[in-house]
Amino acid sequence: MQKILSFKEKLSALNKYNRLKFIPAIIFVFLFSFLPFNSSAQNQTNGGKVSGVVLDNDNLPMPGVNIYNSKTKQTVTSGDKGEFSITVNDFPVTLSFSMVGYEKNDLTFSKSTADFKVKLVAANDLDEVIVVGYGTTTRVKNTGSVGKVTGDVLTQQPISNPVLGMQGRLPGVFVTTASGDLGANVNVSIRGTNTITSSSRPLYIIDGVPMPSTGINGSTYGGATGPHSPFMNINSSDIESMEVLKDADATAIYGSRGANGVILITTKKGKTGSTKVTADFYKGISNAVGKLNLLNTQEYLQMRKDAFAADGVTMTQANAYDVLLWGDQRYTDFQDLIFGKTGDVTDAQLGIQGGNQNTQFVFGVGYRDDNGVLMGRNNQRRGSARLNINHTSNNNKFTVNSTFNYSSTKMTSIGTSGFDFSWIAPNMPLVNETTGLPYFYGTASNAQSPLKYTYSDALLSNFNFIGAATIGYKILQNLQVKLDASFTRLDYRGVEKYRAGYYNPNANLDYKNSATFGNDYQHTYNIEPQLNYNARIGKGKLTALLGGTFQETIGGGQSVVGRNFSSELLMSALSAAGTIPSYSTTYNQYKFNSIFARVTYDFDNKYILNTTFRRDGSSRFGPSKQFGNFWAVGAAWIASNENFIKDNLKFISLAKIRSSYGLTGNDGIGNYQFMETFAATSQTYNYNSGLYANRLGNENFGWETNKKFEVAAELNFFKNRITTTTAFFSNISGNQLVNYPIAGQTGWTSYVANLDAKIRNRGVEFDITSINVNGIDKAFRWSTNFNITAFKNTLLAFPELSKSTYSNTYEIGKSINVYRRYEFLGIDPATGTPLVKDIDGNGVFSAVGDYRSYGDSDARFYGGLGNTFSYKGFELDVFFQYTKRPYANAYINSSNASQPGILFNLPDFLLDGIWRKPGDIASKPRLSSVNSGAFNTAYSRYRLSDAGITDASYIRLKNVSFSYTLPNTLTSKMKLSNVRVYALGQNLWTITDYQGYDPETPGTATPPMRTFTFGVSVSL
Amino acid sequence: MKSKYFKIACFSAGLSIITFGSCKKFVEIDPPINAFNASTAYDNDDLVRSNIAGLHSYNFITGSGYYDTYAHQYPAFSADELTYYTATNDQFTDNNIEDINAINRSMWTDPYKTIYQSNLMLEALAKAKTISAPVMAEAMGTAKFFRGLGHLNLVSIFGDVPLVLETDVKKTTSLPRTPAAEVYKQIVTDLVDAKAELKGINKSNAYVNEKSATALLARTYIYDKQWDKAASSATELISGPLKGTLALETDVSKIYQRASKETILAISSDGSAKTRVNYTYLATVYLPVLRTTHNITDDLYNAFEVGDKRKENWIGTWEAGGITTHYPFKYKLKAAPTNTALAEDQVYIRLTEMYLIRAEALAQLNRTEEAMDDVNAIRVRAGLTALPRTLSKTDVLLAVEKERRFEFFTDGHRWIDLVRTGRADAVLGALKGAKWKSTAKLYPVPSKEIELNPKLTQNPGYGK
Repeated sequence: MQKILSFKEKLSALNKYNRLKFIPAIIFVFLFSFLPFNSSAQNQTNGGKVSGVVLDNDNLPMPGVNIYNSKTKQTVTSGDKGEFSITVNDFPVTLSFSMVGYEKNDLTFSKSTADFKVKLVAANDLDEVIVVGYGTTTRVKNTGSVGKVTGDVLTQQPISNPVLGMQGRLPGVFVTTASGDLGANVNVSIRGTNTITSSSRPLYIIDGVPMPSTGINGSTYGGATGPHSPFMNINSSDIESMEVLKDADATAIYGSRGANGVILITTKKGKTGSTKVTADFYKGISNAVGKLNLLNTQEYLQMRKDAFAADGVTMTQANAYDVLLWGDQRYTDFQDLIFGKTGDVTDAQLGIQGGNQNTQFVFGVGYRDDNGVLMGRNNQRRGSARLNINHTSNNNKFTVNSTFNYSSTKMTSIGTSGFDFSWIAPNMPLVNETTGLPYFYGTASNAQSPLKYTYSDALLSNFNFIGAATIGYKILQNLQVKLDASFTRLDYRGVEKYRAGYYNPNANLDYKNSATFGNDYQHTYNIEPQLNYNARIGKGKLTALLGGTFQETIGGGQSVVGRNFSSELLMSALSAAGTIPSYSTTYNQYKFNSIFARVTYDFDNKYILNTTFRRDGSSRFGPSKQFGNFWAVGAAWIASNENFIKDNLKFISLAKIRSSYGLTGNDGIGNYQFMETFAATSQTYNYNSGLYANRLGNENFGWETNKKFEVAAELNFFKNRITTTTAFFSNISGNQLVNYPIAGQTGWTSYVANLDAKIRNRGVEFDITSINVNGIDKAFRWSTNFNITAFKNTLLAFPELSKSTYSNTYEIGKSINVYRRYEFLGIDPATGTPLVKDIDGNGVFSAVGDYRSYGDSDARFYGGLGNTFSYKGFELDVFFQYTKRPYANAYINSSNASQPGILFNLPDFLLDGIWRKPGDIASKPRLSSVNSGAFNTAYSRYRLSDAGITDASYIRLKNVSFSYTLPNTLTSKMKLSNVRVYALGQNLWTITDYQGYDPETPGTATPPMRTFTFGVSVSL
Repeated sequence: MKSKYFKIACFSAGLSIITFGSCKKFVEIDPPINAFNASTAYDNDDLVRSNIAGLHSYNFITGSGYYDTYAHQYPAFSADELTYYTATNDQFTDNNIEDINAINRSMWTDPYKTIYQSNLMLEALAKAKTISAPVMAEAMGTAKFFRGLGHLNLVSIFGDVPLVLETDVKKTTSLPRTPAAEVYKQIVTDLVDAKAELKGINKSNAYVNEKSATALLARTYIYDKQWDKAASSATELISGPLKGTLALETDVSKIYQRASKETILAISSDGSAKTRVNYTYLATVYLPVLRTTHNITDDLYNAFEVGDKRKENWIGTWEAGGITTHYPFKYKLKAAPTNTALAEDQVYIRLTEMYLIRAEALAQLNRTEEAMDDVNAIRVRAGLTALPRTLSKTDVLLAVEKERRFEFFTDGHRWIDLVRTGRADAVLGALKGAKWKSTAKLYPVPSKEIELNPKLTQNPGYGK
């Protein structure tokens, strides 16, 4: 998606994603810009004078600009302050404003004009605008590493969470979903894991407002999904672009929060033009991508019998009730029952935008309704409304830009994920025929019963307000004072209800029903005064920014459990609860204060130096450790602006080398960790409420640091038809904040402290976009983009690792995500028992001494490949995403997978190559029905050996988008400006050797959804 | 132009001042609304009283399951009292606890949580200036009681243990094991102090008071083989100045009820809990639901003499599918009783123990006849005949052991008694045969703790 196109290229070739929308917009702008001049030209025939000032992009006056009247061949030059005045004999007249290094600007005047402002744009500036921290830059002038995904890329994917739309699109950005469940968290890892225990999530900023990276509802009342992604509240259609800041140069302006990268989400702003109304509607279906081929009842019973035979254990009703009691007549594919529904999605958007030179607005409302695939009610419904208004005063000195966004999401699901029960014996009865309630066998309170989930509901409402305003005033032509002020509030309210049918009646619990009520809120205000200054110094341009941040985030909530409700119809009312066994209050305050500065010097459009400094204070640290200084230096050399390339290597349209180095930090530990506090004991004692020391403080810990280095080359060829970026990065994080373990004799298990462990993330990123066939206008056009990231994480240092509690988790020289496992030696041909190596030779198998490093969960390389074809009104976009991940937890090592042979169904591939009789040279151990004893222990070790690690690499046809825009001749007859019909598909096809549900979510979570939608978009 | 630059200068200066000037203050935060700064936790009498209640609540109910369950349940498996219905607790019943066992680790770490909270209180009180004398005394006494209790539990299960008398975790994390004798010495010091400080403080048996300090002191002395001190401390409660309303409860069925006259210290379930009022947590662990889980061993069940009321009243019988099992039935309620006269607290120390401590101490001091008077008082109450006063010292000690066994089964005493009297090898060796190892008398130091504090040594018979 990252490409560099000249303005002309844009007009003729056009960004593939923007193309369809841009044509009418550009036509509009052109018509509106020129019509008034043309029409008034009719009445003007006499001569006069045109005067004014020539300004550059930063509104700096430009001396020495040639102003040429083609009619009279007369030329004048602008003065020291950019001023000009030219006498015209005959209106209308076209004047050409030109200067070396700048795009020529031809303007037509129909009458005498004074104080006219002429903008000249540097030739290289005519490329993509990139949003960076506290400002914008352009692709060419950028000294840092920033990836960009435009809103169109997001809307062509039928997803509810915009963050997921980045998957595979950007180098260095690894996106995975926690599960395919509605509202599931999406994890983004930018250039690897930098930290041992702190948050490794990037900083998310929407229109200047920091947003939490995970759901604040936690898992207390999150239903089947658990914590929800806060970004499920964000409507993809509202997003103009998402920028991912990666290197020191780009992230240091966010100082202490920049270590894990920054994701800037910019919403759509109003644009000048006539009022335009766009309606968009799509509808589709979805289902889970991966299901396993589980044994049918006959195969299952045979496996059980074989297992008992292998154990030499006699089947009894106690140990084989599935075989002896449940019979062979019943069969349920529990996957179908639990997550086998066909979901559907409805998405409708209405947008109105317009405005004049002074004021622009965009108003949008969106509605999305997802029905999920889980059993029971499973629905997510989002309504959102958004208004953006921009205003610029007549004298251009005062600007205000404000955005208000409100969304409400309602979620319904079963109370807890029932996913684990998809491997229940296929012949298990579902319903107790006497009571009509779910069937339970035995007395355990956690006895299996898939149908019990239908006796639970989670209802979650979620409200999100974001308001942001930027007010600017130009004190001088080149000095602007600006205030960014924003406020966001998230509210979650939910209840999880478990009705009587949910509970095993044989377990004799002292309650018959139970409901958990929760509400959580979080609000953040963020005030950032800034000063922007530009100046021309010598042959170069200086841009400076000075600013400060005052941010406060307050969050909290309550949760209450009620039980024994008098009626199950009253379970939403806490007042109907018979007992209230637990309740809790949470509260968090986070304050943040900084001063930051950035100075950029661009010499002759060739050499650019960018320096950033930020001093941050965070309330997460003790009194003497609150402040930290962060900085970065970035530099770029645009070689293609040197004459020797310009003159000799004309096929090169851009050659740029950039590099950056700097220090960012991480305060991603919880709040209050430094503070020694007391709290109320959770229960009173003999009518007296009590106090106890609940937190062991440590006032001495400080920031985690991350030193980032990057060097990159950006090369474009053939008038930017081929654009490439190649980057190498090496980041070393240190001063790790860990829960430093201490002996239990202290009364505690750990305290937060810095540890001088060092982690390095090093890698190479490459991306290329190529316009293979450049059809002008509506002829055939084909473009390709491809990106790849290869990276390696290494734990460089860890003081006294062998003595620490991490001694068996990490190894110096390996990845921080290393697997520590037994070494699998094979299956004993005599007994079918799996063997692992006793590495320390002490005759005992234990993690200490017998684990060794075996691969790691990092992706070796990943990326995406997209092709876009267009012809006439048709456009087809096909996008593949791939991940090479040679080591991941295999199915047998997922938390709930059981030993083959015990009372659980399993996928048929687990029976391939098992040991059957003495002498077998087998790859898998024998069956066993016994869930304890020596074989079971050996099997547990087998699971925890390298046999439990598998390759989870995959290539996935992530997205196909096909659209047809009706010809203008037809749409104009319908009095519409644009009509487009489209079909979208997500997660359509996967190539993988992974044995299990899905390689993206290895283990046991609802696999991602495959979605097909059809839609239509109409503009008035 | 000048005025413009002036404007810029002023503005920049203003901006920097706002930013820098407010910095430090801006990022200072108050504790969350559900917690407050530790430095203010002992600022006045009310806060100190809340901390006293807090020590009880934290230790007895909320901090861990140690005092109200683990300390009763797991040693009962290790001894000859209980078996579990599944293999889950086999390491305890088979006396082969692995050093990685998670419950064993809790048995080590939980009492240290008590000790930390107690030390914190003692350190804070030493600095507090505005606390009235009686509140100060009660707080000091309570903290020392709990510190003593924590160490006593540790030393009786693990042998030598680190003696922790301060809160600085950076120092305490690397303390080595202190010889048991020194640990006992400190426990005695703490309890003697506690007893003195709690003198005259009028608190019910739901709270640590002078009586419970004296009783725990008696228990410490008998563990530490200080026979005459054990006897005299017990006497203070049986017939001495601390007797008060204490008396042996004549009705065996009422001994574990709140109304019992002999309770010295109880974990109160009165006004204690959101979920559990007037019944004990231990009952919910021991009492059967559709099946028994904690089964009384045949060895114990069959050991009772005919007509022993304790067997009738305190052991439940369960029959299902032709199989009969027995379970601890001292606590009978696992839900709040409608008749609050039947309410149960978990009895932590009761007067019977003082009788049997004195009996044991006197026997050791060769005053066997007096010892037999105490033993017989307990026997007669249980509906048994008195034994002759003329038994030999060995037989008296065996009689004490027997009565302790029947009185305190599944209360956490038996295992410690067998170990401290040197009878474990004989009794458990006979019962468990090849499974029994003499080294099993001490639980292993958790391997994780040795990893974290390499100065800790492992008990013999464990580890590599």
